[in-house]
Amino acid sequence: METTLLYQTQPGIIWDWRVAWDLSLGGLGVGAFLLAFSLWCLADRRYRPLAQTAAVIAPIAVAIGLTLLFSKLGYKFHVYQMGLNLAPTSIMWWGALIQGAFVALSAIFAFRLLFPDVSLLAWLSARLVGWVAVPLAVLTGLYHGVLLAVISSHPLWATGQMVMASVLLFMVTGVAGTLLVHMIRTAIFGARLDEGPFRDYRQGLRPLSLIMLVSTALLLVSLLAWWMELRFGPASDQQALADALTSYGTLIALAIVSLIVALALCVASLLADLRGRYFPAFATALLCVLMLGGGFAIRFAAVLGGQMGSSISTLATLS
Amino acid sequence: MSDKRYAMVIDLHRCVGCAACDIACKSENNVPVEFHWSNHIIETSGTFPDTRYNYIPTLCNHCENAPCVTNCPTTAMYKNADGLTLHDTDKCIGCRLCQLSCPYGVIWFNKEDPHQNFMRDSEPAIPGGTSTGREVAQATDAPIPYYNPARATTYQGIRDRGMVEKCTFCDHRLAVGEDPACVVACPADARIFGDLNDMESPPSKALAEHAPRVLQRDQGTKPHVFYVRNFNE
Amino acid sequence: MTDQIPTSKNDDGWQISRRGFLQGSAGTVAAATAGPALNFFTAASAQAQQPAEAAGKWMASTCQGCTSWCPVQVKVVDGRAVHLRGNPLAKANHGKICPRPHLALQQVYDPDRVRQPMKRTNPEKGRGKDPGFVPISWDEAMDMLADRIMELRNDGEPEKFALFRGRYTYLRDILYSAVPKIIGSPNNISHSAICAEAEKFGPYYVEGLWDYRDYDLEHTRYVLCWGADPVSSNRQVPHAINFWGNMRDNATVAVVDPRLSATAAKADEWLPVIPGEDGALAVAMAHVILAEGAWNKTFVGDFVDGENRFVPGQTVDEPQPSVAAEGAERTEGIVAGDAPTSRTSASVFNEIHTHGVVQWWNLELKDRTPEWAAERTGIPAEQIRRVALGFAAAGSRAISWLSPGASMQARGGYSAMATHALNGLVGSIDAKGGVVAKVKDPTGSVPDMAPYQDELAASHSKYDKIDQRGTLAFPSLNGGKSGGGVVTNAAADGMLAKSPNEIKVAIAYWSNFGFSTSGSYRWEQALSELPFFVHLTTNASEMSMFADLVLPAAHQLFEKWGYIKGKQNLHSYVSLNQRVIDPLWDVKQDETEVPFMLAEKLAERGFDNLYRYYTEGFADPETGAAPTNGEEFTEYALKMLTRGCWDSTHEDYGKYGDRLEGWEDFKEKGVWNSHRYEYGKRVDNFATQTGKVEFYSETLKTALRGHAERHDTTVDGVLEATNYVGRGELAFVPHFEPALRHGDEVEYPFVFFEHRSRLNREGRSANCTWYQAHKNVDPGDENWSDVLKMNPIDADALGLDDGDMVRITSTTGTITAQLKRWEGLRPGTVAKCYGQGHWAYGRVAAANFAEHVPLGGNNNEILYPEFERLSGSTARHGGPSRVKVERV
Ligand SMILES: Nc1nc2c(c(=O)[nH]1)N[C@H]1C(S)=C(S)[C@@H](COP(=O)(O)OP(=O)(O)OC[C@H]3O[C@@H](n4cnc5c(=O)[nH]c(N)nc54)[C@H](O)[C@@H]3O)O[C@H]1N2
Ligand SMILES: Nc1nc2c(c(=O)[nH]1)N[C@H]1C(S)=C(S)[C@@H](COP(=O)(O)OP(=O)(O)OC[C@H]3O[C@@H](n4cnc5c(=O)[nH]c(N)nc54)[C@H](O)[C@@H]3O)O[C@H]1N2
Ligand code: SF4
Ligand code: SF4
Ligand code: SF4
Ligand code: SF4
Ligand code: SF4
Ligand SMILES: [Mo]
Repeated sequence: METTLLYQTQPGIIWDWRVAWDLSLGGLGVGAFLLAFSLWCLADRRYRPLAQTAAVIAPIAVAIGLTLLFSKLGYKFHVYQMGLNLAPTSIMWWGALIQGAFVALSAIFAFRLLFPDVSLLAWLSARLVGWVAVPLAVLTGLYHGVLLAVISSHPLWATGQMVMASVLLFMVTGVAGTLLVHMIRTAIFGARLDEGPFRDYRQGLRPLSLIMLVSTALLLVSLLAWWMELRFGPASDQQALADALTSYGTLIALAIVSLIVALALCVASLLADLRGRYFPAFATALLCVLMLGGGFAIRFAAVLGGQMGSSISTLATLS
Repeated sequence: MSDKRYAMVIDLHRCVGCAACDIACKSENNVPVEFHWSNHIIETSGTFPDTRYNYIPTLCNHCENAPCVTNCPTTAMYKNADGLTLHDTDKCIGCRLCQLSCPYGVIWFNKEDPHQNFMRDSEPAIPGGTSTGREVAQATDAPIPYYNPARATTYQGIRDRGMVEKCTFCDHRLAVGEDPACVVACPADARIFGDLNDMESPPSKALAEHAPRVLQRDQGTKPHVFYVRNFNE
Repeated sequence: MTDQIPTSKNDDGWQISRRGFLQGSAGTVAAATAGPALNFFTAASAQAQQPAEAAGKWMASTCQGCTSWCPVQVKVVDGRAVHLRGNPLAKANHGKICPRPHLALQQVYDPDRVRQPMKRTNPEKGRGKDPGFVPISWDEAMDMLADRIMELRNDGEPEKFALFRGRYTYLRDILYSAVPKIIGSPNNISHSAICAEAEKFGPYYVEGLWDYRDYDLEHTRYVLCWGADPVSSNRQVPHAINFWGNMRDNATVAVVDPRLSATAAKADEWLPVIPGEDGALAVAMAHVILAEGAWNKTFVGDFVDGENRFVPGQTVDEPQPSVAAEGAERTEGIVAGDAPTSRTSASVFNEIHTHGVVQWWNLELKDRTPEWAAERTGIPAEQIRRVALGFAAAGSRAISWLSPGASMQARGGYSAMATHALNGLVGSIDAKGGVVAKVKDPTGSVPDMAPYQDELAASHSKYDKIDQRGTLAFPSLNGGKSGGGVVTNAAADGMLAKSPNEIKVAIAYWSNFGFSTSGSYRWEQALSELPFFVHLTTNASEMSMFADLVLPAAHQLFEKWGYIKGKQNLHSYVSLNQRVIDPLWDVKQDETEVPFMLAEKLAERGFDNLYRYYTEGFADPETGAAPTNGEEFTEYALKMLTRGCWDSTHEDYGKYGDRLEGWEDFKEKGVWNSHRYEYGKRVDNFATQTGKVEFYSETLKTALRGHAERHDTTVDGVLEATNYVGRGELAFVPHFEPALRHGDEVEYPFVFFEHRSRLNREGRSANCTWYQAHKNVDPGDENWSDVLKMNPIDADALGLDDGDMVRITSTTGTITAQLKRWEGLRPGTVAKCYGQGHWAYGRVAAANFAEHVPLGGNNNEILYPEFERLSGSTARHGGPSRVKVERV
């Protein structure tokens, strides 16, 4: 028996790669900011440059992401309408508000960190701005997950794991991205005097490795939970999962492998650190690249793959 | 005047699956040919000779609990006092979140300028002997030759590139006391339209008489398009 | 008109100006950037937002998208047609329309319409050859045509002129009859025989009605459709759709159709007959009804002693009816009043309103058991029995609904009779809830042309016609007369064979035989060889590509005056075609303006007979004024022929229905309705030889004998020449004939059959984007595609998947289409909808118009040009062609 189903909805992907980039870069930015703020608050002075790097990454990454998103809008001239109209039921409206504020604050924060001596608007101290921006950053990170999770017609999205993964992703990618940029910077311009040799420098960043390790592990767990929820969920969930896997299965597999390898490298680096052994810089770089790549691939597959199997009305859904 | 609660009841037993609704909607609302504000789901199942064919006309459900409205970041998609889910092109930013949010796939997005077959057509089949889409439109002094200006009384007559669009329950017709175009066009009288706040209205009666069903009830959208009876029973 | 059109605008100006126009509300950015082009739309833009202005005006006209011919209204705003609806004043379709009139908007505003007369510059004709059309004036075009006609007349061979007609209004005779007759040609050839003449053959030889029937859907209890798909096609679509739901609450519906049609999907029983085997099914049902004693005894009568002697396998012992045994000379006597009841069945059966039930049993039915039929038809015996008995149980409230599907078959004449005879068995002919006919209307006919025929015309117009009608192989027995009907599709063969004579000049209007005829390649060939051909058409369609002159016609729904006569819902009606919008282009009305111009041109050349006929024969019935131009002529002719509807001084005014108050009132209302049909008036008064419903058709017997005599042969000789296998007395009763197929079963394993689209406006929809965009409402079909439907079992065997491009080859040709696996048809058969596959017509219908590449394939290229010869019909149904299917 063959059942043919015809229902013509608009063909093609509605939210494309640009949204995946927005979410990834946004997550990266949020993570970078939180890193910058904690380094700035807690860490040794020699980690100031790293904090500066992270602080600069934050607004830039989020802004690039937002620009990409903006470029995707069908009617860009009307964005100001978001400002003119209160849409408190809309996660996206809140997101725009929060993210906009976050970009502004994180930019000021970066400015303060880079140019601590400029007296312009001095009352906006790094501390003050930072403390205001921290909750915004967390909300932004959450928003990236919630935005999709509220779209209940898309089973892949409408899950708690979507939000979980989103939060974990910003932890993972923010740190990895910052470290990578830092390494590139030092590779090109050399380390600053107070930073010392990378090997020692790294030692002090052990908590970061720990954060990456735990986040990545949790991310993998939440991906598994995500899969299980869909796989053993109602038929529409199973269908959505199958559809997403058909189109993006390879990418997802690659992402998971990357994350697992990154996880292994993370463990290796921690062990190396514990035993005082040398953990090569390129391995750290590789670890970061894998995390970033894997993280982006997950976002990409979730955003695009989630649209593959949106629930469609059939005779069976008439009740 | 008290608010209305407009709804449509589609009697599948009467419906013959002819798509008069779909085409009339295009004509009434200047809908681009690729879009289907009024649409249908078709299912063929079973094995010869026990084959079954089913047809379900679809359109915007004007959900009471409309995720397209909830999620719209500009309130461009909104509910009016009479329960219609309407769209304000002046506010729309074309983010397409409404489209993603709607579980029914009834929202369409103008990726390109609409009606390219008239707007952009400039090569005649036989030069001098036949014309082009653009010439026809110009000759009629309208963007598309059969452009219905009544649509523009409450909405953009033709929606811009970058805008979403969807069924409005023909709010411009309701405004002047007419039934939606698809209701009038349905040769089967399968589309029963009216105000559910009025217990005597045709849809209220139809709902009282037959067990009503909606599409994807589990989405919790509380549709205002109901289905009664079966296409082939 | 053409000079008013603004010349080209640059792309941007166009885009911007559109924007300006479209904005329904304030706050647009576009307006600021709009250049001078903006003024083009501003006036309209300002108005567009006012509900009152936008409301427009509803104007009445008629839709001729199919032969339902529904009264409609057009919403006209600023001189543009923007929307359609049914005419609420019409009792036939009671304000309803099917989906197709909406498509007409895209026809009238089709950019690919011919906008100006064109002449050919490339003398070489043929498919794939660019005609090299260049625009010319109407004056030049009509000069060219008139010269050619004068040449024929001056050479004393006016019979070499031909006029081909497709769809029409009832102003048709002004062109179709008058022009050939007055010029002197017998060759006016209509499309009727590619349409449904074999269908009419059935009721004619059963109840003397050469026409389509009307059906009392409101009161019926059983509807048995024979290939009929009334919710999609046939002849009362909106009415049938509207009544279908309620009807199904009261009635059982059974559909005999090899495919799961839209109607079959909404039926209680689907009988997927093997194509072409309807006759077997129908006679088996008749067998059941008689054998089970389920016939209507008050209508048909009964055995005198009440004992049912219709025992399967046994003849009813019964003296042969005198008339059946003897020659035609006795026929006279019957009509004169021999009581047929006593004559046929004096001894055992007392027949009442029918004739020959016992002979039918004895000659044909006694062995036609459901088990026998099951093998031939593929329908289980149980289902045959169930449907037959259900049908009979509904008594006279039963409808056996015959369509071309079960009759336009190579041997469909007798299937047509058999299916219609079922109505006789249950007594539903002319009965409440049954099968009825039209009510008289008060329209008139065109004045006699004879006085305007000169000697040459009078003699040559009686020559034999090019379509072979009346030859031994083409009896075409319309009205019981040998050669009484048309054999449309044989005209191509006649032209190619130059028999009975050559055709040198031809006009075709509102027809496209290069596309619409089985074996269409023959028309391509005949038209290529035709020295001078004029196509009077809206679109540059297939036939146009062979034309020396292409003349742009006004669109029938929006731009043309005319009237039609129809029936639905037990009401007959007269509906006006009106010019509700000014045409955008330089088009003329085919049936009136063009012939008037031709008459003027001929008069200029010294032959004024046609001009005199038009100007003397047609005067304004109100003022008596004679027409001085084509437009006046159109109006006067229309008023004249419809006078009985609206002119209180006309003798038939108000006699049969509405009393419209004058011409303006008629134009305003658009429709005249008859009284409701009165049941039972025709019983015992049928136009058959016996006045009864004939199961043993004395009427056909006379007709066949007449034809046999004309050709010095026997009735068996006629049957042989017409491809029938029945012999002897079987010729006079509805009987089973095996399906006729072309192509060897091994090489061509599939039986190909076809159907129409619920969006087809005959062959004229495919250039509408709305047609393509909604094509999937034909069960099994896909949007923007032309699919070959195949049962998954066969598709698996061939390794074919949905969407595969396949080549479909028959003995006559090859087309390509997309494959669609579908459970709605039986293994061993494949089906494709008719209507796609245009290699001309326009840029939507053709995949590549300039290169003559079709979108999909035209069924007529693979359908063998087979005929149902007794009626002259083209046998498009019944699976005449076997095909093979290969992946491209
Ligand atoms: N295989 C197959 N063949 C079929 C059929 C089928 O079902 N299957 N159907 C058959 C039947 S039932 C019929 S009736 C015939 C119909 O066949 P035809 O009588 O040949 O009519 P159409 O194919 O509709 O083509 C009509 C032509 O008239 C032109 N035209 C359109 N509108 C107008 C107008 O308003 N005025 C004028 N002057 N011209 C106009 C168009 O450009 C087109 O060239 O086809 C038959 N052919
Ligand atoms: N939608 C639409 N309606 C129309 C028209 C149109 O173009 N479009 N045209 C009008 C005209 S001109 C005409 S003549 C009428 C004719 O219209 P219909 O009465 O519908 O006749 P067809 O479409 O020729 O054939 C009807 C059915 O025959 C089936 N069929 C094919 N082969 C066989 C067979 O061997 N046995 C049986 N039992 N069925 C078979 C087909 O599947 C199809 O469903 O329709 C009129 N109405
Ligand atoms: S059907 Fe979709 S678009 Fe319409 S109201 Fe419901 S959610 Fe919104
Ligand atoms: S596309 Fe327009 S209507 Fe839809 S959610 Fe975005 S702003 Fe709202
Ligand atoms: S109510 Fe109006 S807009 Fe909605 S589907 Fe019907 S015709 Fe279209
Ligand atoms: S117009 Fe009416 S009968 Fe036709 S598909 Fe639509 S709802 Fe069904
Ligand atoms: S296409 Fe046929 S059925 Fe439909 S409205 Fe026109 S004439 Fe009537
Ligand atoms: Mo026809």
